Amino acid sequence: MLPDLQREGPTIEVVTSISAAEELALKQPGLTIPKPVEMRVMVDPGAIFTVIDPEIATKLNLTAVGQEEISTATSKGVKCPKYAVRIAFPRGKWQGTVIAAPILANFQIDGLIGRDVLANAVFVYNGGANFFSLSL
Amino acid sequence: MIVKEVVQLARELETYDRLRDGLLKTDEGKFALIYGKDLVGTFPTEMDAVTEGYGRFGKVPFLVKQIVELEAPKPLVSNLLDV
Repeated sequence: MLPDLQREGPTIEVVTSISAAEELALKQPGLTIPKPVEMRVMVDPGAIFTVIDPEIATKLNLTAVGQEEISTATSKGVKCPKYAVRIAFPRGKWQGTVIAAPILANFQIDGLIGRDVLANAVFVYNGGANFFSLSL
Repeated sequence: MIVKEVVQLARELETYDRLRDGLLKTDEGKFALIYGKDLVGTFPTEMDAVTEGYGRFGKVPFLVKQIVELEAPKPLVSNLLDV
């Protein structure tokens, strides 16, 4: 039985890893490369950026390459670190920077796929048929 | 976690603020790569700057920042964030 799309939202399993540039920087001096991390994420066209939970950044031992100030419905000007990552989707790959910010716990997801990923994707949401698809 | 990483880039952000007016005249829209008190260069894309940063400095914090005139918090319309 398929999950209820309206209740659970368009969530998918992805695999997140460090950027190719960071991997090369670790390989050259022979340092350990963190294992990719499986994440459950929600496709969220309301998010200007793709977001990962800070715990994922810790697991990947990511190093900040910048910061962004974000505003939400309940806060303004929150400074969040940016990280360079690769994300493998069921249909396609993406590389870029994401911000780290805590996700509300009751949603049981590790991140949001924002409009930076969607900028080069086809996202189809068919609520009547209870399915969605995301292709990059 | 958030606070620690942001504090790590404090020196780089100070450098950007110091150089910002000059960069706006010559490189608006590009991405500046800053390490410590030094501007390494400007790049057409964010990932170009990230790649150069890792290539030069390895796995250390550095700042990649787009050079824009107006600095405003980005509205993250999603209501799923706990911030």
